[in-house]
Amino acid sequence: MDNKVPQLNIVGFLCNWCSYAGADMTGLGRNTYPSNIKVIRIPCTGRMDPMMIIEAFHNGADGVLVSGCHPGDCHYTEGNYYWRRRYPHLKSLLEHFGIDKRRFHASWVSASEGKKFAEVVKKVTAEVKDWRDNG
Amino acid sequence: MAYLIIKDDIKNLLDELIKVKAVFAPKKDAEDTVLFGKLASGAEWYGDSLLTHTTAKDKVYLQSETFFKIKKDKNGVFLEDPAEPAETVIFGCRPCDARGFDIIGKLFNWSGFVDEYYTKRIQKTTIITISCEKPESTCFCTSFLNGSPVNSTGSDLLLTPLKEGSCLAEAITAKGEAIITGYSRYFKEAGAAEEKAKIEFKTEAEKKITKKLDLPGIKQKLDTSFDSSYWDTAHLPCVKCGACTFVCPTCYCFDITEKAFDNINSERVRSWDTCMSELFTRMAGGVNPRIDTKKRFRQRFMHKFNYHVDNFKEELCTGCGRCIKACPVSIDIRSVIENV
Amino acid sequence: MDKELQDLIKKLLTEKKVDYAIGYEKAYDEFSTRPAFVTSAEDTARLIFNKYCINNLGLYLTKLKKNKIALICKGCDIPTVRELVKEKQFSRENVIVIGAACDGVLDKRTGKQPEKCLNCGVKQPKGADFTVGTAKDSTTARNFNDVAEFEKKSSKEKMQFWDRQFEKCIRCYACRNVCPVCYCPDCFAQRSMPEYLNKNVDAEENKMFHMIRMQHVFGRCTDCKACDTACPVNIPLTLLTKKLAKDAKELFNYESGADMDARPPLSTYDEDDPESGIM
Repeated sequence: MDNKVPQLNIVGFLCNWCSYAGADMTGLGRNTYPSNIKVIRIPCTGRMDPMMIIEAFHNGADGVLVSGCHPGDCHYTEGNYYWRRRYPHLKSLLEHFGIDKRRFHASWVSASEGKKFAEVVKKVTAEVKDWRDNG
Repeated sequence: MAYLIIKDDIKNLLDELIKVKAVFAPKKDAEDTVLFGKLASGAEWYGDSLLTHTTAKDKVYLQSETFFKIKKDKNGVFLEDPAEPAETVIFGCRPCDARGFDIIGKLFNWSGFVDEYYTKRIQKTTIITISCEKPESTCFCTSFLNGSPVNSTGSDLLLTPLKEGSCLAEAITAKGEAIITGYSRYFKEAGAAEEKAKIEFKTEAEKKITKKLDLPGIKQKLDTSFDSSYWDTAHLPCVKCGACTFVCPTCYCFDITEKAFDNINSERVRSWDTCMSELFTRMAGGVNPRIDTKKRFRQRFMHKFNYHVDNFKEELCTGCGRCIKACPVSIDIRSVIENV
Repeated sequence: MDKELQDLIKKLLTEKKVDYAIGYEKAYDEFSTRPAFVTSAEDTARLIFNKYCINNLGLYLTKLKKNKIALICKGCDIPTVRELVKEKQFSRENVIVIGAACDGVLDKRTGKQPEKCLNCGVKQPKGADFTVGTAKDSTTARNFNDVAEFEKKSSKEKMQFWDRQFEKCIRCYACRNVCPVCYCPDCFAQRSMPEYLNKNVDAEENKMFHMIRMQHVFGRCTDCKACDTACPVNIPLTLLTKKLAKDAKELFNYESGADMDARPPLSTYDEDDPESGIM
């Protein structure tokens, strides 16, 4: 892995069934992405407790990415549909508290989309870096 | 010996004090909250309100006081003591706030034990009190022994505003004396007429405080009313938040917790706690003797007006009335104990 | 109006339709009221209703679950009752809602009418079992202008604003405890194993508490402003609760406490929900 941005911490909450396997696939396919992201495996994006996202920011994370299966592909049938509702509300609330919208992202990455995962992390890192450098 | 200071000179005095000490005084912010804040200049002082929203207690007895930090370097694990407290002036206290320091001070030096964190801070703190010209409907300081709008207990320097645009300054302790001698150009000696004016001020101000509690009678009643059915209904409106205890100048209960950052780096912190909180009495293992909201409500009044009197011969209350104002459901401490 | 109210409650108590009547009584001076719990018909004389009755009494429903209650509600408190019934915290048969017509209340801290009263469409209560008095609704409708104004600020300015606010916070939890929908017996703020919130009080910890609380009440908060008026250091929590109401309306077209049949926005989903910028 390369193109690491110094001193930038991004927490990645990846769903066990799709995105976590997708991140594995990224390595298998020799795709590179910035190693600023620290991955935490979660059972499902529907299980993603917003408290943990808030706590990540509280503990000094510069950015947070939550990634799960594409809508319709959820291992538990409907978990990611709940996440799809929770995300815009949480993003809006965090923004109201002054956590810039460039710091909090979500994505759908399936187990076979190694390349997409690399793209997503690059994009998230660039956005968080932009927030840090340009305020 | 009493002195006089012109009201306009007070700001100049503050400006001079800021140069050498940390000065805390009532400050008003955009939401009309008046709190003790660190002054950057004398002009920031807001003297028009009777009471600040919270007390000055948190400048000496910090809401969260770090006892020590546990750290690690290449030589191993070590303890780091907190920084020594700075020289501080609390300006614009009211007599009830200042008396709170006296009451908490006795507690933190009880039966030979000295709480070094509190004592170190109070020793470096000069408390300058301003007498209350316009007590409000929630005030009841005159119910207490020596309690009055011009009471000097706990203060180092007492300022009493007189009619002619000047204040009578009385040094109560050596720390107060030091302010007068150190900045003597602002102070001139007062005569008998001013001393007389202060007595007038006192009678005028005390007249405005209409509520007077019969404290010995209340103590007697509380002694026998632990199991009274009164508490079954009295506690109903209370929502069990901690607003009353956190704005109180005398509530001192605390909890000691560890704040861990990782496996080694951590802090031991003493934070205010409140008897209204369920967590306050929850023990390891989950047993909680005061799980019932009624018991928690009763505890607050029993402690203030019964248990504390047994131990210290004075009530754990100064009559500032902040709890009445801060209470989200306007529970009046005076009527709760009177109606037992 | 007081007389009408007292007679109605007297009747309910004598007919044993309710165990408790929860209303307002005079508190420490003429500018303040406090909740009153009345159990006997003789006791009803202390009940009053005036412009200082700012508390939302819906709060006590979850505390007296087993009793039959007559509750005096202003028009803006009735959504609270509906929300609690909807969340199955209280059965509708056990509560008799007495709507009190209200011309707007005064905040005891400022002596002024809060913004919610200036743009109020429920001064004459809607959905009560009994209604006492008459009042005319405001000419201006409820709006989110102040929140929209705040949203225009940059995130840095917002951060600074909230940092200054939560610097003041003493974490007395008055906001949480007066909140009718904050009824969890084991609040995250009290959990010690694992510990979410340290007892250490500083601006950052305070902010985390408020962020999590706001997130927890999303889609349930009826924007009754109880937390805002309860705060002993005047933190403008209304800016947050109103934001929740605005988001619920704009993102999910949902209003808490309005429609008994609508599912709370976060406990349901639609396969056709928008992607909202998910990559």
